[in-house]
Formats: sequence, C-alpha cells, structure tokens
Amino acid sequence: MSTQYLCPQSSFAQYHTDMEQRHSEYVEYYRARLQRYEGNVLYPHSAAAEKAIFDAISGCQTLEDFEQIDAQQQLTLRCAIALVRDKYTAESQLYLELQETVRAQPGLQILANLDGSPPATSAELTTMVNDIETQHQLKIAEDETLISSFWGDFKIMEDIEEDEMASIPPQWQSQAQESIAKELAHGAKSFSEVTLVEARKFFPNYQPNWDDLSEPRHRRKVPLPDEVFAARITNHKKYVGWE
Amino acid sequence: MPVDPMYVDPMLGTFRTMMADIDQQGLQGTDVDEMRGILAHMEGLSQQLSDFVEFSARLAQDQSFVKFSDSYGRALAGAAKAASTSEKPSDETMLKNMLDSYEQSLQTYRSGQAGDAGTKLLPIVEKIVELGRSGVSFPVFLRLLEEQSLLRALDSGSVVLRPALAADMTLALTNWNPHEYAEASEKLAVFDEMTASSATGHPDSFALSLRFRRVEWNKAPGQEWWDALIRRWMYMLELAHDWIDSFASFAPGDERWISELGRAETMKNIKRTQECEPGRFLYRNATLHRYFQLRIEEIWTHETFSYEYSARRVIYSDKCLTLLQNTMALMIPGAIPPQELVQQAEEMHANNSTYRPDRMQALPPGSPIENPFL
Repeated sequence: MSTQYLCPQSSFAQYHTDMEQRHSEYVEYYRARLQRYEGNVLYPHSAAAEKAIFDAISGCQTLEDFEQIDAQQQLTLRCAIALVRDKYTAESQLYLELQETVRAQPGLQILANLDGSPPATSAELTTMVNDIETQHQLKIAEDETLISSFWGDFKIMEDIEEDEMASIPPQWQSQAQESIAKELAHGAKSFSEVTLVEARKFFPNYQPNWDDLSEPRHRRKVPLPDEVFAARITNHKKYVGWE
Repeated sequence: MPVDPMYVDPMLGTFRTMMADIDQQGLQGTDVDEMRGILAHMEGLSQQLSDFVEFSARLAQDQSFVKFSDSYGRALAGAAKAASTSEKPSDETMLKNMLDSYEQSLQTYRSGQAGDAGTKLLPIVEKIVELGRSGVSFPVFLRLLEEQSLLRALDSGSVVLRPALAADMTLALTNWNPHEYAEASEKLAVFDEMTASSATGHPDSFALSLRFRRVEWNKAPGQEWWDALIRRWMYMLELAHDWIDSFASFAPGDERWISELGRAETMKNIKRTQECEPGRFLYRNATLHRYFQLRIEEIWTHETFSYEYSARRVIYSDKCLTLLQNTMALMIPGAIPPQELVQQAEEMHANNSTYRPDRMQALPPGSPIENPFL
C-alpha cells in the first residue's frame, strides 16, 4: 500500500474528526450563550430562542445539518429578533409605568412591527429599529417643545404679573403698563417668529397644545401646585399671543 | 445663498468619505445607487437652503444619515459576501476579521485617542486579542468570550462607568448640589448592587440603563423644585439690596441706576427703585408662598439657603445678609428705611465689604455645611 494511496483516506478521516470536533465546539458555544439568558426574567424571548438554537445544534449529527436547519428555521435571526423584542418590551413597559407615553411609542411600534411583519434578515431588523427610533426621536423632541418653552417662560410671566399686581405708586403705573405691553408684544413676536418657525423646521406640522401640558409626563416637570400650573397656562397663552 | 460650507463640510464630510470609499472599491448596485442618491439629496439641500438649522432639520426629518448608513452597511456586506469563495466565510476568516477589529481598537486605546476610557478598557481588549491569537478555533474563542464575560465587561463598560459615577458624586459634592449627589449615589448603589448580584461580575448594560432611567426620572422633579426655589429667593435678595442701596449716597454713581440720558434720568431711576421695590418685593414674597408654601423669612434657615451659602453662590457678606434680612422686614409700600440701615450699606460699600471675598469659591467637598442664620 503506497503512501500516495493512503493519504486521501487519511485526510478524509482527519476532515471528519475535525468537523466533529468543530461541531462539539459550537455546541459548547451555544450552551454558553444560552446560559447568559436562561432564567433571566428580562430576556424570556431570548432564552427561548437561544434554547431553540442550542437544541438544534446539539441534536444535529453534523454542522452542515445544523446550517441547513438554521437556514430553514431562521434560528439565528430569531435570536436577534428575540433580543430586540425583550429589550423593547422592557423599555416600553418601564415608560408606560412612568406614564411617559410618548417615549414608550418607539418600543411599542417596534414590537407591533415584529408581530405584524417580522423582518426577513438581520439587516432588515436593524433598519426597521433604526428607522423607528429616528422617527420617534423627532416626535419626542416635538412633544417636549412646549413644556420647555412654558417652564422657561415662568420668570417673564412673573415679571409681567408683578407689573400687573404689585402695589406700585400711581406715578409709576403707566411705566409698569408700558412694560407689560412691551413684554407681551415681545412674547407674541418671539413665539410666532422664532419659536414656531424654528420648531416647524424640524416638525412641519407643529401646533402647540397647552392641554397636553397637564399630561403627567409634562406636569411633573413643573413641580408647583395645580392652581399655579393652571394659572400659568392661561398666562402663557396670553404671553405668546395665542389667545 | 447656500448654507456656509464651514457648517456643511464637517456634517457631510464623513458621508462623502464613505461614498468615495465605495467608489474606490468599484462597488455597484441598488445600495450604492441609494447612497449616491441620498448624498446628492443632502448636497442639494445644502445648496438650496441658506439656514443651517433648517438644513439640519431637513436631514433629520428625511432620516438621511440613518438611510445612508444602512445602505452603506448593506453595500459593504454585499461586497464581502460576493468576495468570499463560499457563501459563508470560513471560521478562520471570521476569527481573523474579529481580531483585526479588536486590534484596531487596541491601537486606538494605546495611542490615548480614546482618552481615559480607552486606557481603562485596554486590559479587556488585550485579553480578548490574546485569547484569539492563542490558537483556539473560532467557536472556542466565542465560547471563552462568553464564559470569561469579556464581551459583557466591554459592553457594560463597568471599568469606566463606576469611576464615572463616583466622579459624578464628587462633582455634586463640589457643587453643593444635594439632588445631583442623591442621583449619582443612587446610581452608584444600583451599579454596585447589580454587579454584586451578577454571576459574571459585570452588570447587564441594558438592565442597568433601565434602572438608571428610573432613577433619573424619579429625581428630576426634585431638582427642578430646588433650582426654581433658589432662583426666586436669590432674586428677592437682589430686590432688598437694590432698595436699601437706592437710598445710599453712592446710588447716583452706581451702574444700577446711571442713565445715559443724564443725571435727571438717573435720579428718576433711583426714585423708582425707592418707591416701587417694596411693592414688588411683597408680590415676590406672595409668589414664593404660592409656589413653595414658604415665606422669605423662612428662607434664611432653609436647606436651599444653607447649600447655596456653603457653595458661596450667596455672594453677599454675612454683614450684608444681616442688613438685607433687616431691610426685608421693612419693605412695605411707602416705607423709607431708617438712616441707620442706609449708613450700614454705605459703610459696606465704602470698605468694599458688601460682597464676600470668597464668593463663587465653594467650601471644599465634605466640609460641614455652613449657615450663619442657623
């Protein structure tokens, strides 16, 4: 038996040994991955998806069999989807619990998309998540525009109210009235020509809605009594010339 | 007029480089066409619009950056797939690519370009590269990364995060901001608790971020309340200060009242302060009560005053503060302060002792809190 005749057989056997070895190495890798999520209440979908992929690879005879099953059942993609599902489930639950309803929206929309038309590839998954996150970053910024302007204008509203209500001698009243008129004119001009114009560059359909300010997510940012909050909403509409 | 290239170039420069990179590689296809279209759209907007804010806003609305990056990623992934002889790259190729990428990070960290964070992460990345170069196969390498929690250590950034949280606490102490301190210390406690309960010794970065968001959310209204209260009583100190000084002999030469229109107008300004400030002060005191259920009389012993005093953000000297306290009690419409108080203001002005010499120089962190009225 020549060496030349033996070599191919030997290589063939070696190849199989190597592949068996590689297969068992992958089984151990997927076992380690499963252990990361197993029993973690934050990642139930990931734990299930990792279990499925671990079961698949450990139940296969060869790596090639596993690759076929993975391709057919999209087990790797399912792991990626499961992780996205777990993270956005936890995030949206947190925001809903905190009554941050606008901040909860990207997570809820991502979850709805996963239920409705799951992505076919990991690239699609990434694109879908990025697109929704970006869209909602703008919506969150839009939602927070008015509360930021409202709370920021408290000082000027107090200045106006001081001119209106403080006990000022009659000889200074006309100056106080002039000051009020000037501040109100400035407020209206600034709001229509700067605040709204700048906001609409980012949010073309932006319409301030003072009723929204009473929503818990906004209300909590102004930690003052309710009667003050309500009165200042009226003051603010007047200050910016909305009413 | 187009948006100034001074603003456009830094913004679009990265995308132009990415496009050039794709062209240099000779890549073609739908994704490359999309990239080219998006870049042309961004360049076009920079020419059509003149306002940089509007330009940025349009890019944000159109999601141009995200869409361009997605197309770029797909173009590169497609090219890598086409370049490989088989559909799936070999384990050896994947291991090599992964290690190349970590070695690039290593070089960045070693060069100091990634700052202190890079230096702290260096041992972890060195360990990863060492494992990868040790001759193990790709799946063994991946398993060891999992078992030794090296990726979680990188992902959680715990070696960087804990010192950063401790630094936040020190900064809050330095600033004498008890709300910032409470937030930073609670985050540190959360971090330590999650580290201790983690089998890997590193907290799960996502779980940690959720806990941090809850802490920040809980603390935000308290900080707003604290800041709003301080701004209002600080302003009342100024009102009292202006009022007493307006009766002083130095008032006509003080920039608070000097008018460019001449002495008569200056004297009118002084008179206005003398006659109006008490009424304005009473309005502010009523507002303080309406907002915070506190009167200015209670502020001297309030914790906001103690903290601001210790931070030396209350800029008046102790003697001046006592004068202001006595002045406030007299601020009712039509009142004129007694000469004795005016004289004190004049003396302080003359010997430059109205303001404390160490104003804005906070007491060192950890010092006992100071308040001369307690």
